[in-house]
Amino acid sequence: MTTSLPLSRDENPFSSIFITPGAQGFMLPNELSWPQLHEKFCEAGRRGTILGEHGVGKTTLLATLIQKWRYFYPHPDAWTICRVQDLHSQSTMNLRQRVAPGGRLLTTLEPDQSISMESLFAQMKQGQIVIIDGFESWPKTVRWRFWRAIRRTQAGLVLTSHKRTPLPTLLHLKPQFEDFERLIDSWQPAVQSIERSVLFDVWKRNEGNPRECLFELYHRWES
Amino acid sequence: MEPLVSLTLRHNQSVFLPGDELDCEYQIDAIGERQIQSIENSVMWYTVGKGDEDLGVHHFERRVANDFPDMDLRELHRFNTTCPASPLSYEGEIVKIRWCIRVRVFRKSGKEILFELPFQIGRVPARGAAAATSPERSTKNVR
Repeated sequence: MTTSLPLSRDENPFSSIFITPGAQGFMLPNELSWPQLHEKFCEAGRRGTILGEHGVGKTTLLATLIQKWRYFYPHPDAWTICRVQDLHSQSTMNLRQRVAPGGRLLTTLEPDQSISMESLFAQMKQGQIVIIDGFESWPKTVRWRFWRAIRRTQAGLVLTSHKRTPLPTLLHLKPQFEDFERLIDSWQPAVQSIERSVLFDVWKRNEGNPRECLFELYHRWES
Repeated sequence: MEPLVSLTLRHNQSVFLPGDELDCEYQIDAIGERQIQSIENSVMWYTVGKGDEDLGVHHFERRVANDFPDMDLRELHRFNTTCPASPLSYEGEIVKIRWCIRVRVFRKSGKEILFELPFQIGRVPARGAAAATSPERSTKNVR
């Protein structure tokens, strides 16, 4: 718990520090709660995929999910979070506390250190929750090795991907303008004063991609 | 109730030049004498903007209650440092370099309280300074 100074009106609320995964909690669709998503995960045999295009908030969802599901998996070693960097490398990810301008303390999900496939496989044990962010970035051969390894374990598995995987889809992220509005409304007070028509124009121009919208709002705030 | 921290730069100066002495003092109130475990104060810079963030610590001090006979860290504490030659404060569109004094109070209960006092190194017009003098900037809108 911390106290912090209010954000200065002149501080750009769309700076990286405020939009990095974890800095803003992910807002699930209205009809779904975090325990319900966990129930869905359990019903699917504790394995599933979060589907969605670039910039829709898959990693942000993971950052929130890890914190919300700690209740179900409280042991610190219960989690292996891994981000696929490119074809043949991946790194672990961890929640980290960072201080934002104004002294606000944020918990963000960030890449930590690179990890070999062998080490990753060695960590996949019963009772573990393994998260792979950006699963589709691995080449087919690596994905095949991964499937073979995961089949031999009882570890829970959550993947994020742009494309469908052999696992059941837990959630397909297709944000609508109303979701973006909800996100903005939950943001810092300075942001809530942005006119709806402006938000809608930004949304349309960026073809409904929340990340691109936030980048554009950064520049508009600066101008 | 949260403790109060009075953090000030002596002479109320907020713009410094490389080589200037930066004198700072702080005092903690509204908290019991045995409730503070430690206090960290630092003089540091960080970047903020659209890309990855960076930071550097120029001066750091940690005071632990157990190191003091009365275990009381609330009293007025002064520290000073010399402003470095770089990086200077900068206010660009993509990246900004901010200097600040940061005081972190670690309570025995596990809670942490954080205070920041921004200042500027170099004669770069600070956006914050502009906001204080220009009425149109204080009612910023994205249009």
